[in-house]
Amino acid sequence: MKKGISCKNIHLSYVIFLLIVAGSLLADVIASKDPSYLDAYNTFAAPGGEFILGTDSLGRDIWSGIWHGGRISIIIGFVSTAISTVIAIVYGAASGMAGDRVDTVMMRFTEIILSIPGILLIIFIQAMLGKADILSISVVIGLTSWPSIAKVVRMEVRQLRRSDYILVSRAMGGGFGHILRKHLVPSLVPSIMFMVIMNVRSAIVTESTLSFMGLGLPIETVSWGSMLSLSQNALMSGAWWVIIFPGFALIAFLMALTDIGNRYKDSAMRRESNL
Amino acid sequence: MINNKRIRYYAGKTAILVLSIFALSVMVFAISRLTPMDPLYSYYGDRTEKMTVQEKEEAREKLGLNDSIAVQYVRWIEGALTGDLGISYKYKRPVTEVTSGRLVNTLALGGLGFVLIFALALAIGMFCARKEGRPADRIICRMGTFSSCVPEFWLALLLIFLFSVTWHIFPSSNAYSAGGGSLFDRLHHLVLPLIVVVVSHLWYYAYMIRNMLLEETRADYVILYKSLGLTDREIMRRHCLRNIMPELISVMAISVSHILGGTYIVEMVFSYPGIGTLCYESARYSDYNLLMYLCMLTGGIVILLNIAGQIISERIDPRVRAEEAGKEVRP
Amino acid sequence: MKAITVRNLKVNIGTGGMLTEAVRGADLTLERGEILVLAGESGSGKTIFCKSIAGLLPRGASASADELTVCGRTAIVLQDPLTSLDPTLTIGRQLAEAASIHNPKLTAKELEARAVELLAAVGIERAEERAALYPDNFSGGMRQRVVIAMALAGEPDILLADEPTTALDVTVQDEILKLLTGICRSRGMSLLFVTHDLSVAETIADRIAVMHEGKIIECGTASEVLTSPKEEYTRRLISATRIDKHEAFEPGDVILDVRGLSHTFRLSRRERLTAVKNVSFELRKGEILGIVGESGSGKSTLLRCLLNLYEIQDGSVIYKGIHTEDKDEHRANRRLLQADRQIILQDSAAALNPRMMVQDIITEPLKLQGRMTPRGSYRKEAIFQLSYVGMSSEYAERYPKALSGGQRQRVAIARALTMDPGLLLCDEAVSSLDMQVQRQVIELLRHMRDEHGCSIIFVTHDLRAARMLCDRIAVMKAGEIVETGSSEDVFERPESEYTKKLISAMPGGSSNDQ
Repeated sequence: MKKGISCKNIHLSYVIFLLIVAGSLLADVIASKDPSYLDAYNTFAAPGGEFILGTDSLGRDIWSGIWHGGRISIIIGFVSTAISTVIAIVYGAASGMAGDRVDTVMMRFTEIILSIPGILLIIFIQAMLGKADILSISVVIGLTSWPSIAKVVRMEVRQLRRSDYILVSRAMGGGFGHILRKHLVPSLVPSIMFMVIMNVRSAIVTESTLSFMGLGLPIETVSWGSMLSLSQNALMSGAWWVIIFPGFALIAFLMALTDIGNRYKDSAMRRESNL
Repeated sequence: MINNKRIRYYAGKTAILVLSIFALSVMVFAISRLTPMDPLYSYYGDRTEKMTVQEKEEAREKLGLNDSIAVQYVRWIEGALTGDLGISYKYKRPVTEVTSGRLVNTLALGGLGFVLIFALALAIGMFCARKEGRPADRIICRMGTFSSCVPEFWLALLLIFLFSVTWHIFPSSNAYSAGGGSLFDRLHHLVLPLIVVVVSHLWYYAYMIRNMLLEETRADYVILYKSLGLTDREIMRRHCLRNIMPELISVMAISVSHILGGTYIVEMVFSYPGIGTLCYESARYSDYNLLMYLCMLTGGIVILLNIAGQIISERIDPRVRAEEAGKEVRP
Repeated sequence: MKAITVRNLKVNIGTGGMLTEAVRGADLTLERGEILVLAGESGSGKTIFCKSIAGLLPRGASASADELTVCGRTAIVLQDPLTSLDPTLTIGRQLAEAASIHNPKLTAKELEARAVELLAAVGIERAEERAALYPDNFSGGMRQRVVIAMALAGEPDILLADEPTTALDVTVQDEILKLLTGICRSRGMSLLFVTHDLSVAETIADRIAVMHEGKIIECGTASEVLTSPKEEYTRRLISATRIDKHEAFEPGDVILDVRGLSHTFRLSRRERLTAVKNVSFELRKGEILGIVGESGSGKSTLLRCLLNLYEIQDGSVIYKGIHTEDKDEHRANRRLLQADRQIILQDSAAALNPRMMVQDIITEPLKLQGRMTPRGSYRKEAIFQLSYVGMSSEYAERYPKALSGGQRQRVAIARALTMDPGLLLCDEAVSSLDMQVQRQVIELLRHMRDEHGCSIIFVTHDLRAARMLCDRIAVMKAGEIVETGSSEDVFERPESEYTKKLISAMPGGSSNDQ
């Protein structure tokens, strides 16, 4: 039985995920060129030969860009998710533990935040923080993407508060700290794991979208998004590789993440359909 | 008695609506004024560079930027309540005028997108729920996951590359051709942006509907109706779908903000003259009044629809109604 | 004339390594107009058997049989009345829909009339008004009546009932049983009634079939099976429903003294609900007190007050001389109280943290109180307690999900035992268990009392369980105690009308003369 599970877990999505993460960590080894070096003689070089996947309108090597850019994008994805998860747990737990009125107000506040399209909110806060760099953009994305996780945390806490085993634990003298350590955290982690993984995914998308629109990382900082920000020129010159390759890298990583997230969710067994 | 209760119910909802919009306006106002950007650039453009300190001071005075944030906010809200939302620094016209033409374009794109997304999501969700675990469901799930992983802007680029640059089937930008503007022409321009808006959101909602329906099929009443002779399809349509409606309506209300956000991105890539492009400009160049107006507009629409969604789902859900009436019949 | 003939029915659920053989070659015949009770423990395959006759097997199940003939239409009634009806449609519309499936030619008017007629047929008064209500306006028993009405809409020849009364109170159970038998007799319908409770079989059955591990091991007329069972397993099932006389225990000093206890809930700004009204009683050392009553009678609230989980608003609860209603006194003795009073709840699945291993669950109170164990390590303590409640050490490293209901309840008892409590409070501790398992848990509790001399308060709606275990009984109704007395007195010579009503509703009657 145990063997079966471990075999099943070695799945394509984990392989892709690890490959991309490892490749990005080892970008200095894998990449043949400096990804930010502007080779003025080789703009829009087609894939093959010296430039494995070609160059963009500034003559930057795309193969190298994918790995170096991946490093930045993945870092931003994880850092911003760490920030939003911490905020979400604190906020969600507070709302879940609070009385009905405070809880309603706190949830209303998250709804107001959710009512502004996320991308707008991010543009504001980014403008406030000034020029974007890796840290600031992570902070901005982290600051704006916590409400959905917070809602799950709150729900979980509420449910737990009503559960019988907490009642028993309290009757036996379990204090707040004990319940937090022994009951709340262990049941919270699996249930928000899916949300957290999805948050990494959307953070990477947000970063690439922002950088693409010229609102995120400057063009000199190579990320999956900023590599694509020059693709509008590429379109007109028919340089498809500028769009396709970084896009594929991005999508492959997002797919792997989504699949891992879904696996997490499905592992909670459900009953058979009656239909 | 019941009437009284109903009045109190709607009064409560209205109070929440007003409070939410007020909180939103305070938040947006505060955030926008905290940006270090200089709104003078928005008003005077490059001329600002050459202005003397005194000229700048006068300009600020004229635009009312020297007062404290609180004073500025009170002035804004006084104006807003009388219908005067100020002028756009950049366009030097009332903000309502600047946005009027573009608002229609965005609503056409977002509205059509919204309708298509949910119509298709329902169809796909129901289909997959009935075929749970079978090959058809699995293939659709795979494809759906893939589609949800493609960032909007990248899909837009790809479509432009294929349909506009390579094959010249659809135009790559604008909402209508120069001088044109017939319905067909507009629709022709709408096709690509619409595809992007729909594709990038479709699976998220289709999958959600699928899972909500699957949850519902676990209820015992499904067995009961099956034993009475209803087919799977009929049970799904007449009972399961009805049961997820309240939840679905609240999801639809919340989705407006997501879909609008997506519309903005699509508008930018396709240079589609909607309010998305304006939002972006105004945030970037601190065109305060315009920014405020746009945020209140989109935020307001979303909050309003949210509350409307809540009311509808509470109205159509007898479980909530039974609670309200507070009666239980005992044998 | 046979209504159902089943020969060598096999049903498998799942595929590959996860395959379970739910039914392994079962044979059964059901005569026209007959009431047949199919009895067995949970997991014996009786529900799957029932569903395969109705053609309602879940997806992923495969069935094969030498013969499976069903003559006539079937209809099914399920266990849980709360989810058996579509909550978003009125009762009338659901009945009309059911009727229209059977007879599509009826007009809307006729359907409406038919719905009202069906409601009246299952004994719902003022049917016309009530047809306009939603399932949520109905209590569990009423909903089960509606479900039966829905089944009748198809004018079935055979009614399949899968534990239709298990989730209901005794008095309601009695009504539903009478309704079902009445309907079947008057319409000449056959009834296949699935249950774990043989005493129900005694009340209604013409014939009884016993199912064990996917096979029908014994089948015969009710009196045959009940009085001279052939199989050892059947004998065990029957003895689980018996109420034996047990020796009276010599109680010691008073350890718990409850005086004038009341508790009121604040529902909203104006509404109040007094769940417990002026309750007084005494409990002696080594005594087992049963508090019985129907759901909503305030039993659970009382229990929570006794444990100081709810604030004591009025009255006093004195435990071993400690006035627990006094906040300072309570705080000063908190440790002692927490260790000496332990609780066991009904839903053992919810009362154990699904993410903790059995050994950690059992030793949680020890760790909480910062106590060491005399047995060296926490693991050893857990294994010792497990063996005390009759489970082997291999369960120490399992998770609650991998245990059966009875095993989980044993773990909950083991957890309470680690503190060697002076008072054990059981809230419907055996109500969700099969008869046979109930019996075992009850015997375990009695054994604990005999060995450790701890007192037990046993809250339940199940009079028979109370009868089996308790020395003294207190009957609760609407927050008040209406009668107290020794177990024998209350059951043999009930004084209040309410108690009499409860006892006469007990399946198998009040007698214990078998």
